Amino acid sequence: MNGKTLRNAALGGILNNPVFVLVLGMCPTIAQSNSIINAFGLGCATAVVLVFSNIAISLLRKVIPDKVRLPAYIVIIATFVTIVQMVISGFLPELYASISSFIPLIVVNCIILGRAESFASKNSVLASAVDGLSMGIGFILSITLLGAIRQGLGAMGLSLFVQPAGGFIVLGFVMALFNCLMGIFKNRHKTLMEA
Amino acid sequence: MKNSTKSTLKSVLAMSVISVVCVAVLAFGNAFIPKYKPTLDLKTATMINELLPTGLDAQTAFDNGYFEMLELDEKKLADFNKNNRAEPNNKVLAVYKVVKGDYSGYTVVEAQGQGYSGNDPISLLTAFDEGAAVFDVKVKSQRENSPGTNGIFLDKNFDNFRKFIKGKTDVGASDIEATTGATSKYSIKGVANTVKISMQMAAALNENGGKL
Repeated sequence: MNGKTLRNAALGGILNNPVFVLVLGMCPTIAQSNSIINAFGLGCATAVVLVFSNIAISLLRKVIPDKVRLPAYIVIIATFVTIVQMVISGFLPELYASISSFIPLIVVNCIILGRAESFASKNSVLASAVDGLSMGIGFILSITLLGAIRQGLGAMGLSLFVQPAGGFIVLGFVMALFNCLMGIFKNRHKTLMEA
Repeated sequence: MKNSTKSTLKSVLAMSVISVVCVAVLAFGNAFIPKYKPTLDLKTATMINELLPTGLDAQTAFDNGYFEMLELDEKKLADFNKNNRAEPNNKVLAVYKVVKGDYSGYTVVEAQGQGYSGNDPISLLTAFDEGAAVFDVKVKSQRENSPGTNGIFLDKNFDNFRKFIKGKTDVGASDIEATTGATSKYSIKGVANTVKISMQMAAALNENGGKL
């Protein structure tokens, strides 16, 4: 593992933000970003699964045969999702009541399988953990930002934005703004980005 | 051919080991992660105070011990639910008792039934008089998320349902459908099963002097 891999992993959550840049995990993003609490709760649950599944898959990357890697990843991810579901239902029943339908869907969240396949299966445990944490934080921040905007607009009487259709509209605008700002940042720090 | 067999065996072995480890982790989690148990919190006390008004605000009634949660034997409750449930998600979660005020001796049963999907049970608080007849009913939570079912029955038809169910000691889904004019069959079934198992619990407690 070199410093560049670790730095890229650490910055992945921003530079390759799973929601605004990679456009992954759209189903829970739209469905659960109608309030800040739901968005933050689901974001945290996803981030925890992402970190632990990345670590487990990286640990087992030399043991899992290529032929069965995807089913193996799914089994590992599903295990962590079930544990997270047990913990949330046991300790946070109110949150569980709000997001229970979407917790099992974390298993098939493209962010998690995507990071497992493209990063954790090829890199060291430390880099994979950092990548999972960075991507997880990126996901939490983006879904919570959308939740805040949608809840705020809903509180102002614009109930369309609490509905899925409004969620797509808000996501489109925030995504455009994010990529515009990222473009400006990348141009200004070209040398830093290429290093 | 030999390589292919070897590779297949290796894959099967790897998947088997991963599956066994994952099952062990889940079994460990299932054994040691605490399960949610309903408690008599302020939210529940507020709902009970709305069902069976004490004449005080919920916080005061809660602080002054107007309500208490019955200590039910966990095994007996599990057996009761197993013997009386209409579907796997249908169960009594807790029983509360009013111990002071005009409605002293009345019972409130918290139960749930399956709505549209298995992850989204309908949870009701059903209040019973001292003769185990329904006094009133209130939705504690409803989390059905399928388009077309969310809140249709409970929002639009619940007042009709409350009038219909008052004084009853038995109920069926067809009764609710006919009386309320509701059309969301999954919600109706969930509500009917929930009220029915609550009635059975109230009757059992009434017969056995407040014990299961």
